[in-house]
Amino acid sequence: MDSKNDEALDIIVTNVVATFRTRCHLNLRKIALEGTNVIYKPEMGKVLMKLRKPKITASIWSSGKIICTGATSEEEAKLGARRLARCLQKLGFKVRFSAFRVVNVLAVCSMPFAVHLINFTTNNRPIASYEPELHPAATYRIKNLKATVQVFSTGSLTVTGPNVQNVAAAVEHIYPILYECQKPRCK
Amino acid sequence: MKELFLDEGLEDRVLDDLRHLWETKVMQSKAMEDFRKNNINSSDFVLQLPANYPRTNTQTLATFSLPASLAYPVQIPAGVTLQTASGQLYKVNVPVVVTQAPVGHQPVSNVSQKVPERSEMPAPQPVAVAQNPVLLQEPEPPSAAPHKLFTIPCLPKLDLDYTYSQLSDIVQLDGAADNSDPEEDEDLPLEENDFLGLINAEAIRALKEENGSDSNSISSSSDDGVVDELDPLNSGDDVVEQDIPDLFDTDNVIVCQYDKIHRSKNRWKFHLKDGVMSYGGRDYVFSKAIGEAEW
Repeated sequence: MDSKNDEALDIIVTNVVATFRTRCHLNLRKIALEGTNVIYKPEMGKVLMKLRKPKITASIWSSGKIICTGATSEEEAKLGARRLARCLQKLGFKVRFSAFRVVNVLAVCSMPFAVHLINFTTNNRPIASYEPELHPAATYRIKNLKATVQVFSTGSLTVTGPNVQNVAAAVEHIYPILYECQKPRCK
Repeated sequence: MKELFLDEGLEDRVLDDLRHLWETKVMQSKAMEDFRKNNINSSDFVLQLPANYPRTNTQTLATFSLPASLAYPVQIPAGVTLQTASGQLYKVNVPVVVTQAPVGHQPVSNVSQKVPERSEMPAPQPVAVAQNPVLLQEPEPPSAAPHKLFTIPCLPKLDLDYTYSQLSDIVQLDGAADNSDPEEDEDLPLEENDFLGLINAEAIRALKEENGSDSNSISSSSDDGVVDELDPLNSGDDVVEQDIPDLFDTDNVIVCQYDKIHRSKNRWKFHLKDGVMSYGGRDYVFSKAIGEAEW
């Protein structure tokens, strides 16, 4: 069901966060010394490894848990994660790529109209919250999708959710609601 | 350099002699790899005071003994007091470097940059020679072991050369030994302060064992696919070989210590100190270096 208007909205995924496990203990010091493009953070007990393509930064813990951030799509995240596991394997660890899971997807979107935030929050009282002193955007949480949408008065949105589909659904869901509270542009 | 010497009241000739001495020394050090390894038992170094030294001093030669365990070259910073066998105490005004002369080498004309100062300072212990009460600082007694003669080259540059030759012997075991970053020459792993790659022997053994058992379980040797045995993941020949391995390997390396390394996104800023940079085949030494790079 297309609840949008005729124009298609551009939802741009800016960040995908994924985790996976290597199922083996990792010697951080060894990775820090022998790996390429690594940053050792002993005070936090992790090593950051950056990949150039796909542009991904991974936080590696000695337990074997790895968090991969910076990808622009779910496939890219997986590809990057595998590359990373590959790197670790080359360093000599018995890496087994397991439990890959996309944890968070961040996307931005722009409405073709401005939004009157006060009206918007008043109409959607429990689901939307707006505290201009804290943050200039109104936060709208979609419980069943587990997605959060931040609406700015300019009509820009940022959407975060567990996967890309949810994010797209969230935008679809919120569009009509925003449409009602739009601010006439020429004011 | 000459002015410095002249200030002290020394002669030109002395500087020339010193230079000769130093040159022979350096040549010898090149010839015999590690200078220090030459037998070091104990040591005396001979201090020859300049002939025209104003103060009284009947003896122009003072022989000092240094503890046997010292590794050479020895640096004696200013302010230290040395004691001769006879009990005379000399306070070092100007920093001195004591190096070990090759066996049997007689310091012919030896120059001392050190101006022993006979200041009127209360001595904590009774001094044998009446004319020079000196402040006692060094507690080390002269050793009784067989003595060697030493010269005191005073060119500070000498220090540096030792460091350099020693540095070139150091094997770098960390990271990619050659730098892959196009703009910056320093290896990321070098961030570890002073850390020149000491790999645990145990880790190496463990690694070897792992590799041994791995080669059985890993599918292809050439591709080295990721071994995935778990839930959603299939074993990987389709998995990715790193297609940009290292952008390019260079031989440009910097070995140093860091004051501060900072990064914002992909912009890096380096504040380094006390290091040697090998760049374009040439070596540069620095006490401070600041760099910026994009990754």
